[in-house]
Amino acid sequence: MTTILGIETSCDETAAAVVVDGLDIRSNVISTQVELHARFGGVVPEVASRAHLESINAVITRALDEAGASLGDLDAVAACHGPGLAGALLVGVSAGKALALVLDVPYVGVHHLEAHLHAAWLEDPSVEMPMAVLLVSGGHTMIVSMEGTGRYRILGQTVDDAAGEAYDKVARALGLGYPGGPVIDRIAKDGDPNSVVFPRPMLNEGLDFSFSGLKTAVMLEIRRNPDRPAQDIAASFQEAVVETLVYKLEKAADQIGARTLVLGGGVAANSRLRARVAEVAEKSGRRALLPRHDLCTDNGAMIAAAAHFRLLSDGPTPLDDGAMPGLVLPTIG
Amino acid sequence: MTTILGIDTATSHVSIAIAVDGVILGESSLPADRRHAEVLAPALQLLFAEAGLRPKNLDAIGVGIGPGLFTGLRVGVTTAMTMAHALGVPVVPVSTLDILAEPHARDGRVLASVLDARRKEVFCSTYRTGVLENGEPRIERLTDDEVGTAQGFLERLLETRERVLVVGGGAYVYAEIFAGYDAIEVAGPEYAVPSGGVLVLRASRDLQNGLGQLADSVRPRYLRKSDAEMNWNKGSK
Ligand SMILES: [Zn+2]
Repeated sequence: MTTILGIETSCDETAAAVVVDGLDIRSNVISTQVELHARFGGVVPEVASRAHLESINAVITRALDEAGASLGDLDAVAACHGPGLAGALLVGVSAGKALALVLDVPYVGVHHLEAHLHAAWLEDPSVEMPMAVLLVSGGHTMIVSMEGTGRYRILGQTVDDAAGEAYDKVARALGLGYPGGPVIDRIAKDGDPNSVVFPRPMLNEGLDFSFSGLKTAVMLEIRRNPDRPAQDIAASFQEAVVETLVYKLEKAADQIGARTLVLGGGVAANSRLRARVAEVAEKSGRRALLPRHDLCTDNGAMIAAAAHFRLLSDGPTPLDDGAMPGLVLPTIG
Repeated sequence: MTTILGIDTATSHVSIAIAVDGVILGESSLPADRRHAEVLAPALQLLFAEAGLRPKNLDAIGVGIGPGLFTGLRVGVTTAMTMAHALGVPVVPVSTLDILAEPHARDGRVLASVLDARRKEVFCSTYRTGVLENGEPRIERLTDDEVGTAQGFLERLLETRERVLVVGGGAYVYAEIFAGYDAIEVAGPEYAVPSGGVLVLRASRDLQNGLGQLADSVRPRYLRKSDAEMNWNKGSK
């Protein structure tokens, strides 16, 4: 039995979790900074880094308490070491290495996106490979073919804004505040998704995404028709985003012969996106794996889970590894 | 027996030391540039090995809390807090400007401790120094840690009409500002980097004087808000 503490501080969630054998989640504590950043309309790196430092030890303690574990039970300590905000990552990396030093156990630096890919597995370890995984958040939008642990192929990704970024910008333009995802999701339920037909950028150009044109089209519409209800704009915008994401996810699944469609990342909590992925999966006889909310957003459990498999394949991460804000996902082929 | 580890990462260097009952068993000061996290953990590992100690032998951890450059500073403070929290021992916070000043406690002049704060500004503090009747060094703070322009700081030093010794890396970055005044001397470059040994001895004394804190209550001394907060405050006025 291997018990790993996973620490995640790459953006605006301070998170820690205890996971046994890479699959059994004993605790998953997430302290969000959303309110701290709300007045700035986006995540401010220095504000995030300061807040991580102030709560990291309390979050780690809670993760251990909720797991009924003590520090002495840990066989390794893992921290997300990239990609992400440099100053924010460094808090988690420093805390992880400090604990590994004190406990004399291995330190494991974990790739943030690899961890997101492992979240689906945490939900159901018996899932059939390959999976077509759509990772969508404020920082990333990509489709990955996951063929096993450490075996990933990026099939498509955004060429400009991440989907979550587009949500934030549209929400700001509509005066709905920050973060944009949940509020647009909520008010879109009362809107007409066909009231404006926004462009579906790059729909027929491979599996890459582009959201900056869509965002601009929404801004123009708001300026042109200021009286159109925000609910209608939100619903129409969301429909354009979701349709594009789901269409490409299905195309990717066809391409690799995946029997399972998987969602990950903060935008994976979006109710319309979840409903649509479930629908298209059912229509094509596939399975939809939609991890629960606290495994979609940034969390420590996914870090600990990915660390378990990295430790088995690569061994401990050297202590002279730091944070790597621009780290790219290791892929095959 | 009291075993204390000292860590300072508020400057471009990583400075660490271990002392037992006020005797330094090992120390190192390594250039880190922006790679504090890469340098610190292996340096600590080596320091413990060379001193024949383990982290669990520690009774307290002294840490330089800045002021300094935020990202590097946080590496040392997070490391000290997390280690101390896990070990259940106190943290002794020490101003990084104090660490730079300490070696000159007997100097007798006014002491100005200066670190580069970028954007033509410095982090600075001033002290009165000398020797007490019992032969002990005398060092008393005249000002709190502050941030401001190097030029403004210099003018305030000149206004005191006292002889001043300037120490710390900021004195070199702004060498031309501090040069050319009879009353002002800049200490040698060997005093430009905070010493882990000085930190750990100061922390030992402070610990004895009851200045140890719960690990989680320690905070870096930023002295500046983040850019976003400064801009936001400007915008909302
Ligand atoms: Zn993420």
